[in-house]
Amino acid sequence: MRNILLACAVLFAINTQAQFKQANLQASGLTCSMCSKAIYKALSAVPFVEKVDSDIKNSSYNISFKNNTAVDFDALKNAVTGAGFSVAKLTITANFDNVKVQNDAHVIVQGKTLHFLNVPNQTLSGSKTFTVVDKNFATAKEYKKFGQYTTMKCYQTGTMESCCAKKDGAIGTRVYHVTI
Amino acid sequence: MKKQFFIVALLATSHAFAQELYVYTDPASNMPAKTIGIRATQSFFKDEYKGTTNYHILPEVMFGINKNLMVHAEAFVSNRNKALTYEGVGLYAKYRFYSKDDVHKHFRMATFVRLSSNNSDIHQDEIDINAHNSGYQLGFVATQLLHKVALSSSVSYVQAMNNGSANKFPTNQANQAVNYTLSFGKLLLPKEYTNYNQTNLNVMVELLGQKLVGNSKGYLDVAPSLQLIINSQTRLDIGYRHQIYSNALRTAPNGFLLRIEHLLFNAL
Repeated sequence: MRNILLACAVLFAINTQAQFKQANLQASGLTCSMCSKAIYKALSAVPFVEKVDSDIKNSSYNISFKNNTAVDFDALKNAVTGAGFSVAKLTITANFDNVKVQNDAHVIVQGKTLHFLNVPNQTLSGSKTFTVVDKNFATAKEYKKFGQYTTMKCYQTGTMESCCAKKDGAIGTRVYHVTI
Repeated sequence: MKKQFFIVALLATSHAFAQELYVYTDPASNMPAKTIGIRATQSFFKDEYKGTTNYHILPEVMFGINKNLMVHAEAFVSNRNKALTYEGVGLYAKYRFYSKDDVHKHFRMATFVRLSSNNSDIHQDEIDINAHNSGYQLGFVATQLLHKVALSSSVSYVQAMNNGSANKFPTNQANQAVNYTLSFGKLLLPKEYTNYNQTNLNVMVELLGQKLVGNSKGYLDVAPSLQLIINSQTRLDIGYRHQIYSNALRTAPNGFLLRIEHLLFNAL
């Protein structure tokens, strides 16, 4: 409990300027091209998606986002599960403008709460790629692995919990757990 | 005999990309959510008693309601009694309740139900509620895709009913059965995927069995098939169903199947 309070006490949040540019998504549970096309079609139909390029052999998709449009990582995951498959890996590339990142702390980027895990404290500038490690965004093994880097309950629920600092957002706000 | 086919089928799939879009059975995986599929299945079975060919055509429409639920509706048309005649309708639903995915592999389980209304004459021991009998079927299917091998197996309970008031189910025949299936699939072409326009060629081998409840009758068929997938969206199946063993009366156990299917993505 003391650890949780301590962790919550060091949380900080800055609503920063950054632009989500593109994503690379690897899907799991398929080998056939008809299955791959189902995912391609579902991702292409997501409103903020500009273009999808697929690598059928590796079940991976390069997704570019429309400019000045809100991006929703859950919508990408739901497109894949709706097609009948799962997300094995999701990386997001964004342009950062001096965003201070601390390990095991929340930071608000483009209105989205990101919780960085297993990273050195640093300032992000320019084009950087991070990986989403939340449940249903990574393999069960990866999700379990990153669980050891935080004691905060938001890792289990995916939403802001009572232990988290109030300035990071209201309880129930979606939190994405990421690493670099 | 059964064992030999099992071994042959295992060998056939051990060095291949797995495919599970089986021709005679349905895997535990569903069609994608928000997708509509249209399908026409034609079968040409030689009638052992009349010496004629029984032609059946089953137009079918399929809906991917959500990621776990899909529903099919179909009509039964055949020329078994002279002219091509509409004989009834069927509904099929499958619910996927378990899914464990990894890159290039998965294990899935689903339950399914089929309801059919058919007004044709009842002329054999075999119960087939997908073109011959009115009734219902409740089943369970499990599909394993493991690297390059896919296996699928199902077991189901079938209850036949009267084919309308004109064709009562014969009281001296078993009206319940247990169906069991085992399916294997293999991708022959392309050797390597580069784009969605490549035509895929799949080969499949399936074992289809039925055991009637209440007597010792039953049958076991083997059904090899070839499948082309064009533009990752249109499917063409050709299969041959052959009786390995039977002690049940079946009027037309051996014959060909020809099917075309087209998927419309994001249509719902």
